[in-house]
Amino acid sequence: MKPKVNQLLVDYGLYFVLLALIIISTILSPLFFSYMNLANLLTQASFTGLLALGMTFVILMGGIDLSVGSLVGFSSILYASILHGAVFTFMPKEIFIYAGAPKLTPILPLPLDILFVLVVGAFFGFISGFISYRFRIHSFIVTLCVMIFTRGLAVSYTHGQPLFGMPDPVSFLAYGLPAKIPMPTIIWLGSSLFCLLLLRYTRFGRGIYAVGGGEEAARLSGIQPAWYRIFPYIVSGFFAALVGIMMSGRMGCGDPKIGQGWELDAIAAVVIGGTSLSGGKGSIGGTVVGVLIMGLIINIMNLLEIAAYPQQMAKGIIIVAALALHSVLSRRRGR
Amino acid sequence: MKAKILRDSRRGIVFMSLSRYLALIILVIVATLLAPGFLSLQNVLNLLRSFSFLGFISIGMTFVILSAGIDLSVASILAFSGVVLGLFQHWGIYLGHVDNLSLIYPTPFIFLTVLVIGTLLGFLNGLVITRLKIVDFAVTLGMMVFARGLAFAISGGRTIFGLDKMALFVGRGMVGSVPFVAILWVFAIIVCTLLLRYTVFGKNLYACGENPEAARLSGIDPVFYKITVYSISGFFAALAGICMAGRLNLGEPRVATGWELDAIAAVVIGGTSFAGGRGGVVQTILGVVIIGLIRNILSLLGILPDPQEMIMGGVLLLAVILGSLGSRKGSLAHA
Amino acid sequence: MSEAGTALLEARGISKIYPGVVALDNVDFQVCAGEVHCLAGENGAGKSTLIEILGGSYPKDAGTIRLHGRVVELTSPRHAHDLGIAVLHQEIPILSDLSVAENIFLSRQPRGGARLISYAEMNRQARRWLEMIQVDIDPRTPLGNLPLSRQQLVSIAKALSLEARVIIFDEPSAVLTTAELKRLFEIINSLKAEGRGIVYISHRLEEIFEIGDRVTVLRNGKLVGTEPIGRIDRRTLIKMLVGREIDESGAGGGSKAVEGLPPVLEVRGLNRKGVLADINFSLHKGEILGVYGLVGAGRTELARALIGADRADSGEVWLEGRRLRIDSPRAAIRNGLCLSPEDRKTQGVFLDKSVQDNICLPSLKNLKGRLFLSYGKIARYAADFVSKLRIVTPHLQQQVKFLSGGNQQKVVLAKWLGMRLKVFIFDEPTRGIDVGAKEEIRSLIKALAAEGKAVIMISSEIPEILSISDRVAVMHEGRIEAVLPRREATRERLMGYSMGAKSE
Repeated sequence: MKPKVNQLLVDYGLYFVLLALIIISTILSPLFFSYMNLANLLTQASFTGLLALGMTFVILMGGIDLSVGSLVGFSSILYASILHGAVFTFMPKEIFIYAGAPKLTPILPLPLDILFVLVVGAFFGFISGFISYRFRIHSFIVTLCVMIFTRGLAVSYTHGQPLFGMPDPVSFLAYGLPAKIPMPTIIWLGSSLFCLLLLRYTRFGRGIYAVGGGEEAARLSGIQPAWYRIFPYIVSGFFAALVGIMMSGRMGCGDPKIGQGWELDAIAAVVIGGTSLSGGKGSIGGTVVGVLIMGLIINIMNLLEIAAYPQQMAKGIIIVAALALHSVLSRRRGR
Repeated sequence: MKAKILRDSRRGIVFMSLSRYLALIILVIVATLLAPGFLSLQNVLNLLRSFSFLGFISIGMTFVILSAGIDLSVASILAFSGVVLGLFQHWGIYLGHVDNLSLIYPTPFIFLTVLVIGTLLGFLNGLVITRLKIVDFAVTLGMMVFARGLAFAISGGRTIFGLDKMALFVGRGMVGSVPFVAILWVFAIIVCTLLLRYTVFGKNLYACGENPEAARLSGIDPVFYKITVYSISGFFAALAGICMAGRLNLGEPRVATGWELDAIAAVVIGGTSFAGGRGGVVQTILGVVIIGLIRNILSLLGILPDPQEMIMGGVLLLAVILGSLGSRKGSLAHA
Repeated sequence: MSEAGTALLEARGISKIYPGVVALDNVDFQVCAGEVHCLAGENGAGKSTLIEILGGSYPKDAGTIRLHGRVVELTSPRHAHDLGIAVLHQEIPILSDLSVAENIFLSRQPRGGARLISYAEMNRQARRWLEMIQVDIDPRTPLGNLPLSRQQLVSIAKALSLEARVIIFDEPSAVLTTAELKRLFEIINSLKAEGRGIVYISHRLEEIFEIGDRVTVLRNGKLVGTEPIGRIDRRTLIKMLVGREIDESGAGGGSKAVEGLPPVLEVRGLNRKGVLADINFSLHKGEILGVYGLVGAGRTELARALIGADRADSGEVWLEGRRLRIDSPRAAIRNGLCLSPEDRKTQGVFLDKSVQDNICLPSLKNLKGRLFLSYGKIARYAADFVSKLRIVTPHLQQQVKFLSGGNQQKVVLAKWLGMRLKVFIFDEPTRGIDVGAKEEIRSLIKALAAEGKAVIMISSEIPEILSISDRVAVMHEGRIEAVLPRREATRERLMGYSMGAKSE
């Protein structure tokens, strides 16, 4: 392949793909550009997008976080149970069958409830990152264990049942439309901007690229890798908790089963966006485009009435295909 | 200094071996306390049968981890194989009949086909990993999702009830008072141990696992061994799938969820290192027995599936941490 | 103190002890302003340890370090940078995906408004430092896209940006071509003229005499002596390095007339873009063909191409009159060629495997019983070679990582000896081995040739090449510039060709 074309593909290929997908979507459904549809699309994408933000940090560090999906469900339950004054007890099955909306008896005032859940999510992330770093174990196995553990914990805690009753402000988080833009999208894009600034324009952010790209070189420049290695997982856990809270608002209940498979969507988005699994290479901007691309692909699959399980299959193929494509393209550049 | 390192590493290895056997003894004691008939011949043989399903995929996983890889798709290939077996024995489903057995061709050939398909899926894993140069966990993660989705897709999400006598024998049959699968498992262990320890293939495999570049320069083809171990893993997953389908007398896409974790745990507890080049099938048996006993004890204690998952997640994490404490390279380096 | 100027860095009584090994024993070393102070010594002499300590990477166990007269304790490489000491390592760890400028300013990126990094400013400053050493590189290029020699130039720019007064070069010529080495010396001279203190580590005597003002020799962790370059000659330097005189005339070397022997290997038109250009040579039965050249000349690449480890773009290899198709080391070995790689530890042996396993690995198919491997045969085979080659190991099951460098090299040799191969390629077989063991390895190689095997021996040490070769091929920038019979191979001619002189 001629170098010039190759370079064009590498630099702008993502946008071509995005454009192509938009065109395909429009062909499949003339209502594509309607407000309803776009708002819906963006809202769905925002949840994946937030998870993908955390995942970008983790993958930049050469790791992976398989636990985010479970953390979403876990945070959802944790938040709901705080609102009902029942955090530290495993309640018997009977209490979860409600007739009508129950009274809210939150343990902490509302914003603190949210803060608490976010901190717990960040803490789980910290555990993952710490164990990976301290014992030099690859994060996929550590986060796989955390994933199984927290899902098990959440489902056991509520015996598989959802916990109903959400306060209005949280519903606003999920359904609000300030300036006609869905609230989740505002949160997603705002967070993305913040993360972009962090990764690109602060020394700490560049340090993350450095430690992920070559720890030895980073050390020689005086960077101590420990916090850099652990921080991405804290971010990942934080965003997972945030999504859990928002999903609770959206569904009007805490659901331990939510989020299954969402880690795959996040990974796919990040990988499509060009972040390399070996670390040190990638960007938030790429991830954002990757999220939109994933969102469009899922939308197209729905329009084509492809069932849930074939969609899963497709996701598996997409991840591997995106990795293969980036692998081939970067080899061609002669690195 | 060298003498001291020698002493320390030997001491470390001995300690790890002893603690495994100690764990085994403790588990057996606990189990006997919980269920007085535990050590009866009848129960031991039953246990052997239930361990053998995990046992098969753990053998395959041992080969893969020996080559410094990981196979997250074993459970999905297992489920997929069971579904294919069911479908081939209910071929009439596609013509509108349900419930009656209609074999596409005689059962032995069906078994062969399923084994070939499983091996091919494993082969595909190995091919993508080596040719497209994508890291092991990513490819097998994709395959895990793909194969499970495929299983659901071709079965329409339904369970396929009722298999023929030969399949039932494979899964439930006895030879004298010994379950057939147990015999099969022991046979597989013997064959694989001979393969690993007493053939050129085995020695070359260990070499590739420890240092693929040095192996290559010594005249070994690491690509061949990589693809072969994943094919072997796929084969054993299919074998386990056939046996399990026979045991349950159905083809079900939902079986064995999370079993890849148990297999990894078994291999790691058994002492095979993630870094590759060290360990073996016999060691893995110990790991399978330990994991099996833990699950058994949890069931005896009346612990439900979800809390069990939680506990297993913790167990695997602990096993991996302990395993990496002894190793020079840590487990797969990266965070 | 030297005539050049005041002492910038003074280290006295430096000792460093690792469990069981004294790496440095009471070493004094100083660097003055405006001088190039060379540091020389064989591998394991302690050079690397000394500069790791001076660079702040490792703490010292004893001794004092004075910077501009004041005593300092260096706690980290960053600390050393802050104090104006920069070490340019042999293997430059880099961040290949980040730009040149980012690598230079890692963790020190210039900030603009709102304390955010200003890329414009960073690139501007990077450009400035690069221009100072007359290097034309776009600071936005990803560092990994540049060839090694230019990466090294970037590390020099980094040292400048740290405003380092003491710059330590650790074997920089390893990755440079002749022209680049010349340029490096120009840069070093200009740095010297600015009053900086330069430490230059090399085992290439020619370089020491060309660039150095003083030279300090270490041997076995001890200081042998520090002399001004003007007062010492090559012979004395060697004596300081080795502890005895070494006959460099190579009179004991192979001097067979090669023309009468049948050719075993013929290579025609071997090409690999960017790396090998039009390689033609032949190799005869019982001959030792030495291959000399500076690093970067393509010697290892040639070895790897012959063995099938890397794919050549074009060319033919003929073995005993038959055209070979070698696309992998496996194929090469089947045809009778083998390689002892340059990087012994990571490519030549399996460190965690036993001596026995390492020696027997390629020959396993011959060590079987009826159906399976016979461990009895394996043990006997390994024991045979351990005694023949006098490999020092407590027992056959000893892991190779515990063996000394020389014994590890013998294991590599043992691996191939039992296999009835025809062509042996050695890439720097005596690198990193103590002097006594070097001699042993060389005799083993000579014995191979005496048995009628054909040997290619790649080496960076002229005395070694001269003492062992029947003919010498000299490589330069991917080409073979000349192939000389031993009697015509002189130091001057070899060095000349290796630096680009053309043969008539």
